[in-house]
Amino acid sequence: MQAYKIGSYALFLEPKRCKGCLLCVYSCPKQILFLNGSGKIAVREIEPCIFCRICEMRCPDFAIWVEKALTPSPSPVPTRSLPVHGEGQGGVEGWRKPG
Amino acid sequence: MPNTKALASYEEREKRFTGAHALCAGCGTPIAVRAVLNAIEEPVVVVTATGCLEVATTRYPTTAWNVPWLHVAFENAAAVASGVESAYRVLRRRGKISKEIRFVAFAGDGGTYDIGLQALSGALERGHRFLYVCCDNEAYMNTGNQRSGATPFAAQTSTAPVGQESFGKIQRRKDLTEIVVAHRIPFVAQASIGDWYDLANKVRKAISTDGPSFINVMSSCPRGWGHDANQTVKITRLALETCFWPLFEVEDGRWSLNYVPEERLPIEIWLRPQKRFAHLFEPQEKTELLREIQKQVDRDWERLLQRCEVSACASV
Amino acid sequence: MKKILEKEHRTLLTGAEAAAHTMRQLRPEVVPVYPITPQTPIIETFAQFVADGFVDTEIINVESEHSAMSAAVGASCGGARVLTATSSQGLALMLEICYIASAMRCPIGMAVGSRALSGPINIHCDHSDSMMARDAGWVQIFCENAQEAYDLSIVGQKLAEDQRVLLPVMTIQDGFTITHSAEPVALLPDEAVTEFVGEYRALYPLLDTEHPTTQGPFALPDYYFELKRQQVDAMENVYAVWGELQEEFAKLSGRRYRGLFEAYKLDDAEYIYIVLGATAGTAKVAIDRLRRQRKRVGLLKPWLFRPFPTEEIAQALQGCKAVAILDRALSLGSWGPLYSEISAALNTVSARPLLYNYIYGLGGRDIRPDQLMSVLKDLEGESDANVQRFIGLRE
Repeated sequence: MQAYKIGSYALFLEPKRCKGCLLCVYSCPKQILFLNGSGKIAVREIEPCIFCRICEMRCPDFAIWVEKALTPSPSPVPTRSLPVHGEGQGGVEGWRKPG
Repeated sequence: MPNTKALASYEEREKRFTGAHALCAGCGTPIAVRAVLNAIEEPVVVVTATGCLEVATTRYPTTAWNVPWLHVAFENAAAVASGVESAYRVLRRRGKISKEIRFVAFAGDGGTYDIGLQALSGALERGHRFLYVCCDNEAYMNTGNQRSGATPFAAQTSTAPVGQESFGKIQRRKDLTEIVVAHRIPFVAQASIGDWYDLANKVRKAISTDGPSFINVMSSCPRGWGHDANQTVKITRLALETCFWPLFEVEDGRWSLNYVPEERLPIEIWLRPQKRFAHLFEPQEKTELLREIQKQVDRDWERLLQRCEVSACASV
Repeated sequence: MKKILEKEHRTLLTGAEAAAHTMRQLRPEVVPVYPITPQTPIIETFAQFVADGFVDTEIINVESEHSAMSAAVGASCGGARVLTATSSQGLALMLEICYIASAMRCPIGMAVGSRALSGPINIHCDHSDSMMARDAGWVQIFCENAQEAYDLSIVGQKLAEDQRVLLPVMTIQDGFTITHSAEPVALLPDEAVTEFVGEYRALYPLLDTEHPTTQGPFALPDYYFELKRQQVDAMENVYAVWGELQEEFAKLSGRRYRGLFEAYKLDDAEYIYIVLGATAGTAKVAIDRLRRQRKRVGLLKPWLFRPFPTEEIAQALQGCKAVAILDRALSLGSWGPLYSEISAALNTVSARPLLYNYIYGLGGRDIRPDQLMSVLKDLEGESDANVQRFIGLRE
């Protein structure tokens, strides 16, 4: 995960989740995003970013998001005990089972 | 109506649906799902029909859902939702649940227009309080682009392929939104991932409705429609500009139009970038078919304008 | 809430009405229903109970049985006690979701008024509907009369909701023969039933929004098998839980359903009849008459068909001379379903009796005691064993 901070805002990228669809790149009003050599989302320059969240709203994969007040959390999934795809080994603990 | 700031502020809420799911790059469905769930403030329970959304987000033992989520089968999302909603009502009455919960069902066009139509119709008629969202990508995309009742005229699919004797689907798509309107439920709307303000607004209205509500959301499938992943939003936008997929809502029987393009684009502009319509342009342009498609769009648009005008007059 | 039964009450009821009384006394939260003959009087009677304020259940008048079972699964996952009822084509239509109900461990209780499957279309009793659903992962209880239909659906619901089991249960009564015939039924006081069954508490209710759960996910080859295995274990647990609950129920009602099947005059029997459901009543008459002719015959009537009481039945049949297995359903291209089960059960037995398979009563064809009595001649050696025969059929 990468974070770019300006003032009280930060733009977060999670390249692991990125599928390279380019929707955010095409929708960014300041054109600060691009796909890097491995086809993952990257920031060209952060200064023009206005933290409008259009990239965040368009991203089907939750790979890019904005956070306020500089409290970066490792992921925007703070409360679940079950892992999401690709993050850690899942177990069957807690699943409905008899007795 | 929410503005960009309001929409952006929805994103600050805890994520109800999260990433690292296995949906294709540029898929329109997760965009619709996050927009819908973001616009709801209340605790929400989600029911999903079998389809891409279900298969790609809940590969056991992982999940992309941060809200209670239930899948039973393909054709019964509305029936399952009516069961959950009924359980909620009686458990609340018996004092076992105290808070207000909202219910949303997601299904694709196959699970709504075709195999799930009966269950949907029954649930709407019974008046359960839930929002049914159809993510309409105009074919059975989970199984690899087969023709559905929502597939448009002349589109190429794997079960209505183009060949010497065939130009793709020979029938028109069915107007599901109008079928739902005929159930006289309090809120029915057509929306698109190409216009978030409108979609968020409709979700707010639908979720505060005391009764069933239905939103038909156009959501493109880059692989099925045959366009680059980065064109997902643009293509659905073009469907609005060509009036192929108009945005409208029907509140208690009153029709109103939510978007009128300044200049109506010819349907060709929407068709041309999609490979499923490539046979209309290559090797040579099928002018007659294109004219027929344009005629259908014109007729539907005019009909819609009339309905909205009549509603406007009646409400004066 | 109004109560209608404060103490035990003996009254004239049809099987359908008895089943409706069970539904009322179990105080379900949700009952999704769809009419079909001969089950309809169950849901009609129950709907009247709700309309009269005897129970505050949410009835969902769905538009098909498929949606009935779908809504049942939804409500059950939500955390509600759910009951429903069906027959024949209705069960066939909901079958897809029946498999899902058991896999999702929804303890749904369903009264089945068993009826022949189309085609040709027929509204009368046979067991082809229940037999079609035998692999759906439901506990299947067959009842001989209205009293059993009442008692065993009470026990059945407690069995379904037991944490060691957590499986849906269908309580099967023969269509018309039981559903529409009135007989004296002893009803327990409402409170006794409520107390016996207790309140249903789901392990992971979907409606607990504080603790979100993903239910009904997509299981690939890496997990599917293990999840099915859990259902196998749950079915295995039914035998022991059934025994415990019958003891408890006997204390409550004075009616004892000992074991997994009823053994009628089995102790010294050389020839044994095996039959499911209402025909057991007819068979008992036949047995009594044969006993008067000094024939050593007995009847074995399984209450449980799923899980099948394999070991217990093998033990009971061990050493007898011949067994008449009466099937009220076909498994076209093979033996009757009950015959197949019994035959497999006897694999572990050294003194294996001769087996005779009889198909009877399809589409509601009547069966009389004299027809059952005449079967004995075959068993005594007049005819070959291991041949499928038909009773009451015009060839």
